[in-house]
Amino acid sequence: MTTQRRGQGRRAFAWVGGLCLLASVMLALVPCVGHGAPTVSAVLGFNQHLHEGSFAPMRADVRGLPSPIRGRLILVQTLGSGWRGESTVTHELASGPIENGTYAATVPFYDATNPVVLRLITPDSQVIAETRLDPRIGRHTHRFAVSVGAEAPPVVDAVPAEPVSLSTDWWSYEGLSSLWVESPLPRAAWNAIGRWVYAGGRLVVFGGDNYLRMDTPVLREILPLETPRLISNGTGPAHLAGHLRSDSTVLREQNGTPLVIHRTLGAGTVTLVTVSSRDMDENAYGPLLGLLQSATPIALSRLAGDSLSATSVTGPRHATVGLLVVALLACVSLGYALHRRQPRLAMVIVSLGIGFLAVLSGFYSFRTNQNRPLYTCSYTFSLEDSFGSVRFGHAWYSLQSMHVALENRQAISEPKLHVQPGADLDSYVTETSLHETRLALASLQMRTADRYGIPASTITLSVGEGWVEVDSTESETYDDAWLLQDGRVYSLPSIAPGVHRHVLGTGQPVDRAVESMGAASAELAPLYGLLEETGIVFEGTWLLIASHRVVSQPSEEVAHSRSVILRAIPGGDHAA
Amino acid sequence: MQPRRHARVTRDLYSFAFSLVLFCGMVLLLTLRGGGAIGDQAGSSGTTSLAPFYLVNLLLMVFLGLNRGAAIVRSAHPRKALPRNALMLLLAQLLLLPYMTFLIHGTDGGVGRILLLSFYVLLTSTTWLLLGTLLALRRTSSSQSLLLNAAAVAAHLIPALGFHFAPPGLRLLSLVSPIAAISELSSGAAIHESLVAFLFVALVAAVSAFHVVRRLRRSEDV
Repeated sequence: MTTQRRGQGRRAFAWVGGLCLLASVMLALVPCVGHGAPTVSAVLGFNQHLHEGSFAPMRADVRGLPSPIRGRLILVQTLGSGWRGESTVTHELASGPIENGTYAATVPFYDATNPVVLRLITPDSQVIAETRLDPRIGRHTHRFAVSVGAEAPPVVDAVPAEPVSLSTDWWSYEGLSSLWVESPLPRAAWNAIGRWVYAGGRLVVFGGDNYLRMDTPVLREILPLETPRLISNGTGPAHLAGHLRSDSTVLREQNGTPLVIHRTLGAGTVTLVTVSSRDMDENAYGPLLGLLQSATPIALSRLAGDSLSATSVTGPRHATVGLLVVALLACVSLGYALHRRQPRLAMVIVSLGIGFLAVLSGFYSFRTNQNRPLYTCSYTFSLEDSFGSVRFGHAWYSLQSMHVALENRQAISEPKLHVQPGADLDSYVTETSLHETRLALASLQMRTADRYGIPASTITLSVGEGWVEVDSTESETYDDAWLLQDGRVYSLPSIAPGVHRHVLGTGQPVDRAVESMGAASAELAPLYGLLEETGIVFEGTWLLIASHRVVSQPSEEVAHSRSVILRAIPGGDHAA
Repeated sequence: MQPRRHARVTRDLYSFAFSLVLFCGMVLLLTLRGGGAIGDQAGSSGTTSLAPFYLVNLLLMVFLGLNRGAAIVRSAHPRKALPRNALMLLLAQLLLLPYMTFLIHGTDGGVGRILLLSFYVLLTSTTWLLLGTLLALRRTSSSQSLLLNAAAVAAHLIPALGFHFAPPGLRLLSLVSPIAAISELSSGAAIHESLVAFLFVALVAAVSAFHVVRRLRRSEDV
């Protein structure tokens, strides 16, 4: 009996052992099988939350590739629907040798009602791996708050996000109403957040014990306190203290020490809560919540579009074409009249007349029209500071169906299309590679787009007592230029390449200057209104506005191109 | 020796040329996109489009083809009259040369598209010259003949447009209709679409030419 039991035990042991061995072999084979099926996955926005119509960060993961392959990682968005018209917008996230790993990018999201497709494709467009993502889960139609390591008050309804999801592109924060931080972040992320704040963002930073891990020179530069230090006296929660900056105000105190300190920075604000969010009473946020309305974003595409709308298109006159019709009819009538007596002469006259009119109408059409199919206008607003940013507004209008290409440069975002309400979306096909963006332009449809970036100075401005020295390394001459400071306008003759010194004179108040400028005021008034509205230009800031126009020869593709640059230089003697 | 006659271009043809120049010119004027502020023009449908111009051109040329087809049957030597009347169609189309040179720069068509459309119109009108000859050979009364011509033209222009609403594979068959063909060719049709449009007309022209030549030869022999 015992021997029989022992035999059964051995057999069971052998079975279990065999099964374990088999399981081990299969587990060992899993990675090999995995290599045979590459996969792609992605996290869109901040923890899958994004604001429709804004830039947002995204991270794509590639797994299961046995070795690097030549290919492209692309994101395909669909705009519209069958009845509104439908277009695809393609973004290239990576190109060349693709290997297993994470690929980060900042892309504009247009229509969160449609799935987004991430594809790994070969150079001949064969799909290796694909995943469909549903952006509806975290879709926001209004800007939303994000908290990183902080416990934001419930009324803010902040989306929690990991520090790793924060992008180093300042424009990736475009869709946020406020950002709440109580976690150490990389220096590049702080830098991007600083630029976003300067451009109109709302940042809330918490002190407390975590501050020691968060402390960086970039954070110190934007905090409302100078030389911040953590004080922990054992009687209450650890709090941050230091010298209040001149542009900062204390919103709330607790036991005689500042609890909530607020600072205006560029067009944005930074609020410091001196204690940890976990030590913060919900009611203490009261005075802060009213200040967290996000700033009005500067949409230069609107200005560019308005400016292009006012531009005149050359075209043939109806009267001239009417004359052509009359001349042709006269020619045929003459042939008819002569036909009975001299049919041969009639034929010759009609043939010569037709030939002559054909040449004439061809010349006329060539001169007045056409062969000038594209009209463009661009506005650039550059804020020169340690947290400076640059914004571009583009507008295109084409007389023909065509494509335009826009170069994608480093530290400048790809263009974000402004989708006109009620527009025919079929014509919004856009392909963005790492090097350029190709936009489809429908005949007689205006398209506008915004881009963001980090400024690269090409014009240097030195302002002294009653004079200004402009050093331009740009190739073109800006015909019209003005300097604005504290509500006064100083007119400059032009900005040509090289170094030129100009006398400033006394200047004029903006209102009077706009009246006396005539045609130029049409440009200056909306610009000044926009800048006042956003508050990005503050006291003491010098603002340079320069305008440049190009009307190309008929043989060239672009008929009419103009660009307007704006450079805001805080203080006086700065690079613009 | 009989004196050589130059009256191959008849007075009727001058009347037709007048109508052709007038109507096509009116369409050109009506669809002309002139100068002005972009804001006033953006999104407007008032483009100098090729389609309306060439549709009117095609309709008039089809009527001319039918008219000339009947003239061939009435002539003393129908077989000799056939190429002469085909040449008249070419001359009629050449009358629009000033408009065409204007359209080359006035629209987004370019030389290639203008030539393609003009050739399509010429080919279609030649086909109707042959079909008109066949219809005239039936020797029906004038009222019957008018109804028959109108029905035949309508049958060519309209029914095939129904394929526009068919599944994608069958949708190409809508290009059998010159209305759809002109519309597609003027907005830059793909090669296979252009081929369908041209091949159908060319096929009808070839079959009609075969029948016309055979029946004219038979009638002359009789």
